[in-house]
Amino acid sequence: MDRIDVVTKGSRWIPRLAVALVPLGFLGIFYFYPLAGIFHRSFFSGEIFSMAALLDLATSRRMAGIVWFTLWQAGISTLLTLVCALPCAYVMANFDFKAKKLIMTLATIPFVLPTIVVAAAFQALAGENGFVAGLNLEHSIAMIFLAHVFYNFSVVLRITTGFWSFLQQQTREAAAMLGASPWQVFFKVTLPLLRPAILASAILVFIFCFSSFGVILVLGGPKFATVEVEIYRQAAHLFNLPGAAVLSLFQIGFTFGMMWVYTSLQKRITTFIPQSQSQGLKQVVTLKEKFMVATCVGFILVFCLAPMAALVIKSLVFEGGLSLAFYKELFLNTSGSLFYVSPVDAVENSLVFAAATLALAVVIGVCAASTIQRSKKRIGALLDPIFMLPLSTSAVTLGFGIIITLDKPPLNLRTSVMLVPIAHTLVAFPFVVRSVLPAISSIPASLREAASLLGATPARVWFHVDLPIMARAITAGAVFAFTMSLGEFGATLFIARPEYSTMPVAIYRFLGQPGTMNYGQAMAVSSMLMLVTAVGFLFIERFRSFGDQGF
Amino acid sequence: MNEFVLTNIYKSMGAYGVLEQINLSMGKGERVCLLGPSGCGKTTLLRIAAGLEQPDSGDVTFRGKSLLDTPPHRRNFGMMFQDFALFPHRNVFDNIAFGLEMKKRRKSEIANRVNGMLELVNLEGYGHRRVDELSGGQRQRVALARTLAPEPDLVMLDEPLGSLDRRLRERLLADLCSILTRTGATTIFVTHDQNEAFAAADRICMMNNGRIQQIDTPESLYANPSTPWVADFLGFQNVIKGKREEDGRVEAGGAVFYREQAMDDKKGAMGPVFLLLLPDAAAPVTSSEYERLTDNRIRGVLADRFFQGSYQKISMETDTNGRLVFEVPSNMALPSPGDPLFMKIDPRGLRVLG
Repeated sequence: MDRIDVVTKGSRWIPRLAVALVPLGFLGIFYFYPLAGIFHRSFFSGEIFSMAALLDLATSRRMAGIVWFTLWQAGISTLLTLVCALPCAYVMANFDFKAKKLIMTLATIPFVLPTIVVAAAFQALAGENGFVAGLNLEHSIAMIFLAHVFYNFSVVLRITTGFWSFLQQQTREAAAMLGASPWQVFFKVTLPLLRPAILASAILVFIFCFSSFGVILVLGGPKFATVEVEIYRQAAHLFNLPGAAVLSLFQIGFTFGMMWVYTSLQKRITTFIPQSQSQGLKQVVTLKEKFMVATCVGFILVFCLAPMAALVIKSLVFEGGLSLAFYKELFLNTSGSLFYVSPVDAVENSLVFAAATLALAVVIGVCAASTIQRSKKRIGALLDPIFMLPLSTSAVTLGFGIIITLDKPPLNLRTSVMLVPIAHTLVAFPFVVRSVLPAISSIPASLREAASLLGATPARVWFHVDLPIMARAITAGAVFAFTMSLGEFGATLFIARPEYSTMPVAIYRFLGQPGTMNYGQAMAVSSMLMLVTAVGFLFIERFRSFGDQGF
Repeated sequence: MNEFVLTNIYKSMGAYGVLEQINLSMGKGERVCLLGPSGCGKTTLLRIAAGLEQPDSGDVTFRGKSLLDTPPHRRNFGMMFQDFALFPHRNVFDNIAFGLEMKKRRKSEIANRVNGMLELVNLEGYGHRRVDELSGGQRQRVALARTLAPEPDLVMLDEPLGSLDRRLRERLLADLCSILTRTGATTIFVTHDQNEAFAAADRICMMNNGRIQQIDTPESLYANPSTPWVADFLGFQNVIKGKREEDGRVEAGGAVFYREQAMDDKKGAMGPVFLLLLPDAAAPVTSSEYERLTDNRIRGVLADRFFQGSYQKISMETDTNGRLVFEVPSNMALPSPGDPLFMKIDPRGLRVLG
């Protein structure tokens, strides 16, 4: 009896440990080690402990200005996003009308677009050569706000709408029966119940705007710098690595703090969510209601589609007529090009990296999800947030950490072609975990037990029970990893050697060069990237069966 | 004078059909129960009474005044919702205080009233609890206290025990009734459970398919169901088709049933009717006794018998009236299953249904 026990225990332990080591090892080498590197650079000069870099920054007026700018632009962007999204959330949560789902999907597309594409789209809409160039928004703070609202609008819209439509009609009716007027119902019942959802989405938007990189770099021009942009400039242009490290440390500390607040709010939201399904959506009847719905739909259509349309049109108009000239130019290796790689090579690089990211992220993500699901509850609850850590670290910080640590022994990957896919996987695999975990937890133990009683070995159980049930979730996660990798900008700009440039990096370089041809090619690459990510997103939307507010 | 009156209510309920010809009036302090299967329109009717929905036509009046233009929050009615709809962001005390706050009562007055309500529903000391820490029965009592605290003119309860488990329901129903009686509130009570309705109501309003089938006290409803549907809903099984003759006799499947007075009560029209035989109306007789009777008799084959304690339930297969089920005392001698069975019917156990 005892011996059997030992044998089965042993044979179960070893494969489990192996599975757990895949994501933990990956995180250890490519996340925690670079993070430690940033710490080291901040406080040590060579082998000697030194606060010099820290003090330099702490006393610098310029740095104080940058931090202050980062904070207030994020604050204002968040406020503007709330102002635009909350009225729309009211309409979406309370009324039933045709094409509502379509509008919601449309409103979400900006969020899945690569930031560099968002920047290019606003350049096309309101930049120097843009459609409404008359507004003179080139390199203005207004342009940054617009792009941030465009990008984050759906975060607030989706979280709040989801929560709002779950608030029971009955709760509001109960208040009315107790003598509360419609305004009192809103302020005494609806708003207090919505508060955690609004706060949570606002914090998320604030974090995104706080770590905004591509948008500020492209739209802000030399005038504006956030902490994120400054890390890049200090490291890549001024080679002030200790300075960049201290800034990264600040960035990490701040986003972690915000993330912690967000997670605790998230917990409050889930305890607040009533059990019953959403119900009692109003039909649009009165003139006032029609006006509200029309305004909301109109706003979403114009606001979300205008920049995207501007981008596509700009990419297709050459010398006053419709033409594919910019697209054709991408595939010609013009001599005298400032690039080490031609655009067509950038496309190829992007696709190769994305495929590699997909494979890595799926393997690591599935291993991580299995590990969380199989460990004891307490350990699982600890592992889950650890696997999510890369998400709360900005891409620029990740990239910076990687180049300062993985460029020398014991692990020198500076010239390795794998460096880019590894960085992308770091950001992509948490999404695979989020997608796969609900599916894997939904498999009742009895299913596996039944299969093993019918004679299946553990491996075959996994293959014939777990895998088919997870297939949809894995596919969704894989597509996400692929599109994410295609659009990743911050980390790639840092770590990609010129010959490994990707599409987003190419767009950035094109935008930075003068001339119609460069501008047009930036628009063309952006349009292609937008098309691929939008299609990928629509595919995931159709495939996703778990969790409606996937943020 | 009638306190609350619904007149000729008509309302389309989408997929659930329509509410039609609803007329109901209630006296002050009266407790009326709307009883019917789910989807019969009872909740919609309650919501119309509350003002949460508008009737397509018809009138709702309270103390002689139409309420159609009064929004729910100005009616001073109270409603307890099926799953209680407690405010999750407020504790027990603040939930109960909500209605009083809306009436802009003074703080000290609110505290007094809320504590009084907590005492009434036996939840003293629970004021600071969060509502999601409460058990189902406690939530029900908080919801009741919240509904009653502002002293509504009309109290509405939508399946107040519906979401609780069976054993809890029986106990809480008794509590609920005694609390309602103590406050003397005029009450409309919605349920699909006839035991609840019988226990709680002064009058029961039976509804099916958006129409009122019968309004009566529990006793007379049970004694005199007016339609085959009501009889069936109340659990009566022996409803047979027959034809009423000129002299009031009902001929059904070759047998003749007659009851001097009761048959004439029902408007006396000739033609097809339904006849209800109450379960305790039959007593077994010998074949010779059976032959001596001319009417109010029935014959068949004993199909099954089930011992139930003080009585036994027998089911008999008749030649022409299908299967009938009766209850007879346990000590009564019966033929074996499969043998012929002769029954004498007590005319007091006969009902003609419209």
